Amino acid sequence: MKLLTKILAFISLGLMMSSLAFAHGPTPQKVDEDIIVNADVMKVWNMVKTFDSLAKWHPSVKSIVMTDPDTRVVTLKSGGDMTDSLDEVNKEELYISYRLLEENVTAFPVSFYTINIQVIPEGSNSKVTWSGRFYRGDTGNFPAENLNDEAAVGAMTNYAKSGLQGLKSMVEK
Amino acid sequence: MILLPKLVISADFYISSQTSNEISRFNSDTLQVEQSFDVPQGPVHLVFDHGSQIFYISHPDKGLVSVFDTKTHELLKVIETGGQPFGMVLDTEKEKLFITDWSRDAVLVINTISQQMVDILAVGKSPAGIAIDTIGRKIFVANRGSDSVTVLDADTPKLLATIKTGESPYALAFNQQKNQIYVGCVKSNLVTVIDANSYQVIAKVGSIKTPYGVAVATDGESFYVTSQAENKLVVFDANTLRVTNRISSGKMPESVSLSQNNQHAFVVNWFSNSLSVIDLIADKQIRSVPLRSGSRIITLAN
Repeated sequence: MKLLTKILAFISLGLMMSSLAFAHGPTPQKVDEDIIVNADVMKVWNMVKTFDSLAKWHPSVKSIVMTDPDTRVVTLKSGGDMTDSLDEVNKEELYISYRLLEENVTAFPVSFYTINIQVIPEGSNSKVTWSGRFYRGDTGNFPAENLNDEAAVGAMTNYAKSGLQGLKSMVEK
Repeated sequence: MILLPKLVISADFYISSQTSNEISRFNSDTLQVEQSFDVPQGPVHLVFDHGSQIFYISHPDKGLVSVFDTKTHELLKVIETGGQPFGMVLDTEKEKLFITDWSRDAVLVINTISQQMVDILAVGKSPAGIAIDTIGRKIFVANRGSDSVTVLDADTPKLLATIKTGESPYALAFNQQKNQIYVGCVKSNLVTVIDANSYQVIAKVGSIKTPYGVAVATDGESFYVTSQAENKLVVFDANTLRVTNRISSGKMPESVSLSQNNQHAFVVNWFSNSLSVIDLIADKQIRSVPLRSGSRIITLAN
């Protein structure tokens, strides 16, 4: 019978299998970084809001190729590419949100993420926040060291921090 | 003078905090977290078995389900299921607990008398949300990796239907009054509505950016979906299947539960580590209650 599987071997087999599927079983991880940019919010927002301009300010990004108005292929300087899908550009609250459409855990050890980058007035300057939720590269319960939670958190935190620093440098230039 | 007993409408809701390894008890009358207690690592979903006065917690990262006493919060047992046990639903009629297993593409069946795993049923890939129709005797499973819902017979290990949904169905809820299933499809940004009798998709409604949690009002007249990317609770009319409101929550809302009188919605905001108390008459958040880190799922406890 196709549906019913009572074989105990299935349990031990399942324990050995690891899944690279789009992830929600394991613990979601958080990225929560921000930076002060010494510039008016609109000047910063003009840089942040365009989905195709990431390579202009993110030091880890080599190039962006748009495959449609809401989809970008991000090629990393370290090699490899991943695909992002735009969710929203909110002109009132000054945030852009997007998600990982096609993972590449070899290039970036995260199997899924949603990111929100927002520009908030801070006196006459701006605070930029980089918030996100993501999952490790291997969502099975026995991930290799390069695909575990620590690897994912490290990669995502560095990516957010270097991106914010790059944005600050570009806008303040 | 005769003193009439005070009308008690308060209820406890339990909230899991996956990275804090804690459960918090929130009271819908005081609108406060009244108690928190430690549980094994990585708690996600909770299910209450009122008859036995116990509750179950899934721990997907650890491949186990823990069993607790409702009153004392004492850990009674750890059931080592293997895999990644995630969503859970109790069959109140037949003493069975059904659990989705994310990594083994299966539904685990636990006998709640013996508290032993008695069956493993194959479903689609990466099953997440699960719901039961205790009257029609059906189990509904959202297969996130297969873009489908599996319908199983609750009494026999029989596959009743496999229904195509939007992309990446995650949470689902069953509306007993309307006999409809609401499936939040994370990648398609919509809710697939399925007729639970004919198994036909009757609507695809939205748009909701990254729908995560789904809940149905006790009277069946409305249902609620959290939009994780938009930081909103989206309200639907269950008769017209149209959006009637979008109410702001905290950042990255995940799960939602309703008060028994349907006047409040309680939304767990994963990023903000907070609970939004939303007044469904005034259509706005009236309170934000701080929660522990990694808070995910809210469940009615009584």
